[in-house]
Amino acid sequence: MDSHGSFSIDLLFATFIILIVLVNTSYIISDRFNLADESKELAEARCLAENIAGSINQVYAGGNGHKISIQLPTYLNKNNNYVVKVNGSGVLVDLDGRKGLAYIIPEKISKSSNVLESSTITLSPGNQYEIINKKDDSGNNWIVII
Amino acid sequence: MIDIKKDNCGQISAEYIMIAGFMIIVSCSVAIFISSDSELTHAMASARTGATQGIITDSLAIYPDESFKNYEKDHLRLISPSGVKIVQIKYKNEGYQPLYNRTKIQLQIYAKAIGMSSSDLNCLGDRINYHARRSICITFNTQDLTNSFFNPAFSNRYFFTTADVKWV
Repeated sequence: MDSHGSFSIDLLFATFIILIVLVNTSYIISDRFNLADESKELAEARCLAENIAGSINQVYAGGNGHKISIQLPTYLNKNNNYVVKVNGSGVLVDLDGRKGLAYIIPEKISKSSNVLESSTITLSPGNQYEIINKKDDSGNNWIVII
Repeated sequence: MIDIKKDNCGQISAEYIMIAGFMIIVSCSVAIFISSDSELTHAMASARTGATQGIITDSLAIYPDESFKNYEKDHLRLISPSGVKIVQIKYKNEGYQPLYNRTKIQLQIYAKAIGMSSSDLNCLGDRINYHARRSICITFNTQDLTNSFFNPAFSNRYFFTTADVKWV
């Protein structure tokens, strides 16, 4: 009885072919993995901008005194090098030099509830913020983000 | 009386060595023959990956700083997300070009987008083409051989240009 086994030429040939195919496809696979990773980062950035814009619109629609708390994620797909800027034009996400804007309804955005004046508010990763609807003496509704 | 010993060591027959050697020679010959086509296949796969990256950037409307400022002024529609889709990527072999000592391949990308003006579509198409060429250069590590727009994109045996994206 042959207890040692043997390599057939078929097996060698098949292994050789499989190796060639694997090496060839590995380039394409690694490319696609990178693409998926980058896409996820962009998609998360877009979602974040739209979520913040949605919260601001909701607070604006809720009227005087309406309030929503938001928590910014620490990372957008392993990347914490991002900032969010909010002003009358909308919510701007800046991700490593790439920018995306989500439009909002209110035009009056303030960073202080005591002194209501139009300003650009910078939101940082991992922090919690409150979005408040406040009416001024002239009857205008302001969005305050603190 | 014949003394038969048990063979525990195994052996390789001359026939086995001959076939294995023949296979290696055949494989090497075939590898040389198909490497050119394989390179083109890799380049096309990279172009497809790049074009997909382009449409994702277009669809999610997250652009590099310079483009973003430009779109804020002249192409406001592009600031909002849009639905862009790749339909087909074709290539045309335009023959050997002595200038670059390579064979010229022109890529033609067909894509689909709804509710865009022609100038907006041009911007979207340029980005798709840019990413397709960039991806080829990154795959073959030839960023240094070309300009900042990666036009043309080089591989070892080919160079790639892109025709304007056709919107269907």
